[in-house]
Amino acid sequence: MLHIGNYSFKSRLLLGTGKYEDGQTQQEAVLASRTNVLTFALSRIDLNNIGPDPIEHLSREKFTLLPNTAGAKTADEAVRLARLARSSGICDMIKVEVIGDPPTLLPNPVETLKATEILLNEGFTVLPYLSDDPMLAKEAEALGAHAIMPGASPIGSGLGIVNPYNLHLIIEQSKVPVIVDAGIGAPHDACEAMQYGADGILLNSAVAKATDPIKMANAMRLAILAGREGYEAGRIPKSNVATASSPQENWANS
Amino acid sequence: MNIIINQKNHNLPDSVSSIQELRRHFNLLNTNVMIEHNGVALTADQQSHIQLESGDKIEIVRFVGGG
Repeated sequence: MLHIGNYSFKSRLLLGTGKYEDGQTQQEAVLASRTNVLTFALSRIDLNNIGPDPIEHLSREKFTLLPNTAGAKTADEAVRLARLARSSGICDMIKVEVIGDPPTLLPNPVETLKATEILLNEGFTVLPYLSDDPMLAKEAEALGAHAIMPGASPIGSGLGIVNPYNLHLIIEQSKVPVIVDAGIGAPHDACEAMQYGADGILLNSAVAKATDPIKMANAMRLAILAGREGYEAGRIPKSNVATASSPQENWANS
Repeated sequence: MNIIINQKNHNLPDSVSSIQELRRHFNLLNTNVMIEHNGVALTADQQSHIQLESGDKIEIVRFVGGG
């Protein structure tokens, strides 16, 4: 079970809902992933073209919504979006996302922490999206963040874990759940993060933009299960010398 | 009455004097939307109490796909 604040989830995969080719594929991928948490963004409604409600057919018993503050460039904007999301009455969890740098979409750490603090004071369950910086993670945890969400690599890049050392440090030091968010490209990336001891994975593009999103959703589910089992099983230490697995008797002619 | 909705000016009939009527006017009663009135996000309960005044700033947002 993954525990975040007062929430408990069976699945350790949190799935994004952007970038799918069509609604049917998305729905089937969501089911194949067996996720319990779906992320959403907020967007101004087009009053001339209201269209279908994207969450109308979503089972609220089966899925918890994790809105994000995408689009915010400052703490104030993130707080506004979070308050709007909560006013829906659907969920009080929020992924704080304050993008500071357009080409890399890396988060602005100062504004992210500011928004995190304000939203924690207002009783939100706060999951800040951060760079993979152990000191930042420490600061967010000290503020009371309910989970730490370090990026493996830039959003949508699919580069996987670019700094395993930092990610290890964050996982080892954190007492709140660490959810690796952004940059996961292939199932082995998700598996690797889980093997390190991450508590969960949040991904979107890796499934939505895969050639077969439904199959990839299942692959990610299995990879996360495997990584978690591996972590709990305890891997062998790495060694620079070989240790034989078979008897090393001497068969040379005497 | 002149109301700014999602950063655009809208000249609304005088009958649209509350948030609830605003939702009805734009055919938004049966879809999940979240509304901010002059910078304050409104719960469903608050929406039924707020009266509109000329010059009010409204943001109407909804959940969309995102990661």
